[in-house]
Amino acid sequence: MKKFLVEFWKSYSIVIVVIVIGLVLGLLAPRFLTKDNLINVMTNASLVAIVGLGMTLAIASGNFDLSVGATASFAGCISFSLVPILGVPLSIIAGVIVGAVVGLINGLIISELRVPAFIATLSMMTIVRGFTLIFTNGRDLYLFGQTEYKILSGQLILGISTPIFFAIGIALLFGFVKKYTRFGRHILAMGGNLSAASRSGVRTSFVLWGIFSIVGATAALTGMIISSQVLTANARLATGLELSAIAVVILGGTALSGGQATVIGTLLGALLISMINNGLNLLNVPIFYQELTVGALMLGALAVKMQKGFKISSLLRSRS
Amino acid sequence: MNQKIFKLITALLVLSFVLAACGSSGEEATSESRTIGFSVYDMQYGFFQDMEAGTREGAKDAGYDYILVDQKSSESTMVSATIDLINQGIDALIISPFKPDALGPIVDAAKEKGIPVVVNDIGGGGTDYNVIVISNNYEGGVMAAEHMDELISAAGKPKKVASITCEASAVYAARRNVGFEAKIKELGYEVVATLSGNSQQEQGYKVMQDILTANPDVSGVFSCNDPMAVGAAQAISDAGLSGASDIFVIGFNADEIALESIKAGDMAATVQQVPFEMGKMTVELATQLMNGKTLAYDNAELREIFVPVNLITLDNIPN
Amino acid sequence: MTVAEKQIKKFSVKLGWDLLWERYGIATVVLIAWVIAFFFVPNFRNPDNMLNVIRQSAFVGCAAVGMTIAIISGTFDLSVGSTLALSAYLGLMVVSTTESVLLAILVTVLVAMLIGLINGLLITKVGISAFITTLGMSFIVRGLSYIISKGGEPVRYNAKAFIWWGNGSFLRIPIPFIIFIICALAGWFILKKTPFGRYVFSIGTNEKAAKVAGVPVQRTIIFIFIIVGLFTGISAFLIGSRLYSAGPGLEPGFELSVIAAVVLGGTRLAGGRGSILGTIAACLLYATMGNILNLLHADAFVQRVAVGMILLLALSIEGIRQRIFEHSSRRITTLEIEPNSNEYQGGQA
Repeated sequence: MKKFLVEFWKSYSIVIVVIVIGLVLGLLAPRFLTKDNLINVMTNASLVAIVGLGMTLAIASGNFDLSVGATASFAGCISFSLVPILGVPLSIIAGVIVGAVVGLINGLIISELRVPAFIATLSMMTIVRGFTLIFTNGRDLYLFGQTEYKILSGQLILGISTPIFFAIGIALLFGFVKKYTRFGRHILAMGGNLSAASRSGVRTSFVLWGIFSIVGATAALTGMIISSQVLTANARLATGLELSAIAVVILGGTALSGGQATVIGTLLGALLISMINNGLNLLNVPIFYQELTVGALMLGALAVKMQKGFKISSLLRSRS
Repeated sequence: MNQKIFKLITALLVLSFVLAACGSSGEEATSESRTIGFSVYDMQYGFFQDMEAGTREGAKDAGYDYILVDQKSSESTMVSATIDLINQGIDALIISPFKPDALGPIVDAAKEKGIPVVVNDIGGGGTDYNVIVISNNYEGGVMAAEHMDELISAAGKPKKVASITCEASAVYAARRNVGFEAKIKELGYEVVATLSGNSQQEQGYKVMQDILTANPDVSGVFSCNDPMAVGAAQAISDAGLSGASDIFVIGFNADEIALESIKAGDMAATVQQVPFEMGKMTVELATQLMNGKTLAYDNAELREIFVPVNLITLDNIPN
Repeated sequence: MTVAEKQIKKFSVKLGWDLLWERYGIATVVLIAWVIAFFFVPNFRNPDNMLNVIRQSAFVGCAAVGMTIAIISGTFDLSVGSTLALSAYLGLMVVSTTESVLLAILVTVLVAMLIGLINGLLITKVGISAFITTLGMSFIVRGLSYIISKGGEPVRYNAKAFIWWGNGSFLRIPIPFIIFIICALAGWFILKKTPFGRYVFSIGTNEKAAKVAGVPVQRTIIFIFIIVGLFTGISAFLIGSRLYSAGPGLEPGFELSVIAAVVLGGTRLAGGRGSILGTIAACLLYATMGNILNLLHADAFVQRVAVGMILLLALSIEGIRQRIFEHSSRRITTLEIEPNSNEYQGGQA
């Protein structure tokens, strides 16, 4: 039992944090716990969670991707500009493909040119933003009155919005991939020990291309959902998405050193940040306190995991 | 072998500096025509693209050469790129500064070379510029408040409004919200929320959702810029309401998306600035300064020339 | 005997080239860029312009010296941008109220060092990874500077004694560049001539082995972050002086420019290898690139793409060369040591 508690605390401390913060916010802001607001919170969490899930795979493999914000806005712009030609469903698919292609380019640069992921995706961030600016000529693309595109961000059934379904669906899919497929095992093997994985027959380049294509596709989906919310696409959209996505993955408990991933953790991490931003907005707290809180929370959550989690476990052990 | 390469590199290094020293004297701009340099805030924004188009056209009409640099929303790029501009031998500098407080070194460098400085909008940062053309941000906020009062009173809705601000570092744009909030409070309204949308459209959307949750009876929203106003209007229409008749959304700038949003019936109004005309005007002022004429200021002490702001609604929307 | 000798000779040539590129590659690229620009880019050879370029390189440069040391040790610091803003802002507040430049320098540098100390303590004593610690700190410090400023309004101050540091010259050489070179010499001295420098390299190469060999790992890491703070503080002071002002929103994205410059300079994100000379050259290259693009009147949108492409190109040269080498010398693989160990580094801090 105690062992179970220790394990539970180690892997699910974030569940407790989410519940506690939810209750506190519920007490402070009475409207926090209404159905509509919770759906808003979950929708906004899903936006970051979708790209965060892609990022989880990248981080599990010991890489990460700083170009997701740029990719998101690029895909939104491409997709919006294709709507008059292809119609909504096809242009959404085209957007995802464009994202995957950008991701694939990232993967190729990393594996074939041997540029470290950090700096390769940092360069790609500038390049893709620049490309988007050239493509849109720096202007906004808009689809006001176009209700069909709203399918990406609107409510689907029972008042629950599409992004929530996407986030849960992708989480299930990635959870399955991670546990039961060769690709998933190879990702974790690469993150755990690259040269060992390579020696034991993992074709690291292929896995890498797969991972980055997936990250690109999830980033594109997030970008198009954001564009669908505001019915506008431009090169400035989703600025800073990369840091939010990485923060969410880390808060969720995926280690930056690679070799391990928690899909549910990423969902919860996104939920946590979304709850805090929403709660502080409901309380009319200025934005810099939100930044401060997110930073403190990241450090706090990890400190608890590192230090206190450790201490609690040792406490329990000494008693038993 | 490696040593040879190092020697070669060293030789090249020395050579290039020698050349640098020699070449230093000959390169003064001696061409007949005058050159206007424009240092723009950030070409990512429609507002500054329009301003740039006006400046470019003004310079072309007057027969000047024209050089543009982009500050890319960074204060150190603003200084280095503008100094690059000054070092190319321009005859007058027009600048829409990303951070007016960092204008000091630019104005000093320009004065050292006897180049007049025309500031286009944003702010002058208390420096020794020749003239600043500025649209009155505070007054624009007041104008929005007055219009919102008319709309809300006519509809008989509760006197509760919200205010969405730009990113915290945009202190000059913040005056729009200050003007709005001061006037609307004077008119007997309650400002139920003042939140930042970081100047980003998607943040305007999110913040509006939260404002609606916390204050379902809010009847008007003023946004510091148009992207956030359009985002807020979308949030309102996603909640099954209208930003033009249920909750009145007023933005600032008259960006293309805002005009389209007003036409689509999603948003009530926007406060228009006239960046294109401002651009042309700065070239005319630069001409007068280069010809040694004295300018007619609206406010002589701060060398300010005001540009009017207008309210754009569905009734007077330009096509 | 002769075969072995041959192999060793081949090996040493390869190592030589590797080191050559790592140490002098970017410096050569900068020189070539300068020579070409000198002859073909209008106005580049104007001495004011060239002096402006080297002045510009110094602002990222000083902080990059500290970051080089951190990255060689296998960690890095994402909080330098926020640290820069907070310390420059506090420095400006001090100088504008007390009119004492010395006090401003002290405050700026000490605040930055204090943040470095906190980073170091969190990393070593609590055990959070450097990436997360410094990312979290960057949010906290940025938030703090806005809260202190009560709304984001920058502070201005333009007394000669203060702005001279960022805008003045000595024998026509810009003061910031002189300070940058002094910082670089100090960084070089620390890395190459002190036991601390040896610890930095050994931690970066293999932390566990360093620990076994008796390197005081924790103390060294705390010290590294204090040093990063010190150099960031110097950059902060110079930028504040250069701009006559500083606000809490100063230079977002500064940390990424600094890290990019260090990596471009040949320092490996994996740690263990790197040089200050490379960092100097990379900072110069950055400033030169921006300047040339401006002088050529390149479109602002195209500039973004160009800068990214040049960065990628410069960084892939080594990878391409490695591949070609591997391809042409499959036979001596027995003597290949660790050319692949640095691929796919995701900045595992």
